[in-house]
Amino acid sequence: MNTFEEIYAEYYPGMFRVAKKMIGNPDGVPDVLQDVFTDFFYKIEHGHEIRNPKSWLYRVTFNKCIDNLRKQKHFQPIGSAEDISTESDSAENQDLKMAIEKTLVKLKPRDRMLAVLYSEGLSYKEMAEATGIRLASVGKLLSRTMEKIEKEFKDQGYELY
Amino acid sequence: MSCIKKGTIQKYIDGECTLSETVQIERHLADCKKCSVNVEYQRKLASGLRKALSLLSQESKGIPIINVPDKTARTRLLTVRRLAYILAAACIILFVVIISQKKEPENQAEIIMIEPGFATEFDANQPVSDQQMIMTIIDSEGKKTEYFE
Repeated sequence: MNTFEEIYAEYYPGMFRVAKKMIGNPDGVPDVLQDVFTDFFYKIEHGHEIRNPKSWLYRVTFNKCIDNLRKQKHFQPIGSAEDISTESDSAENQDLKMAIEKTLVKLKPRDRMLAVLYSEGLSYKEMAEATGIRLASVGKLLSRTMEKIEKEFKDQGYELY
Repeated sequence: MSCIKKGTIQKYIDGECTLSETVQIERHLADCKKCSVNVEYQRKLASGLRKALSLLSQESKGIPIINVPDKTARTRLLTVRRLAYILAAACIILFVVIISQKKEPENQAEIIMIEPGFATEFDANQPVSDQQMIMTIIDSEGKKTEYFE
């Protein structure tokens, strides 16, 4: 089995991207991941067996992101997609990023996580374990989520493909 | 075979179907133009979603050092918390004891013994309620007080 440090180094970058897409605010992501890995550390310390660390870590990230989103509701947002855009981004790309963020915000957290994990290339089994959805329902929920995203995109004047 | 459901098409696109499911779907697709169009549509949606979300991808600026609290710090924290609970409980108990002591009237002599009995010889053939009872209370100074009923 991999050590804590190895697991941390292996999964941190992917979890960072997922948490960033989930909560939108890049400044809050390190705190979320610190909480996730602290929980993971104590689980291991207390002798709990985690058979699939990847799924476990993504599930806890999902839960912590939901907590973070609830906390964010109490504060006035001061940043948006513009904050993450770089100078090299074209104006069209910036608009597109804002449209994607707006679309994701309108989805239910579970659907949003599903779309985000799908974009990260996780298997159906891993997505099911991370979101608590039945494995048999992943395909159906994914296709519904994609239709919702496409509709929302169209409403904003964009095409998903 | 009836037309393929959207969820199954999604599974097929993502390579999550079993071999037998894949064979069945491909046989159906060879004959059904409607389902072939749906497969193509969902394939484009999936690819579009991945492409769109990849725009939001922001890599972390390196992997930060994790600050996991060490065991001694955690144990110390638990001990301090436990001590705080014990102290709070002790304060409450002390407060209750002080309050209960204050409520006791000062002029009342302490009762040290109560002796129940009957004023006359107990007659087992008579109901108890018809026989006069006597209650002897002896206080701390040895003074006896009798109560009749």
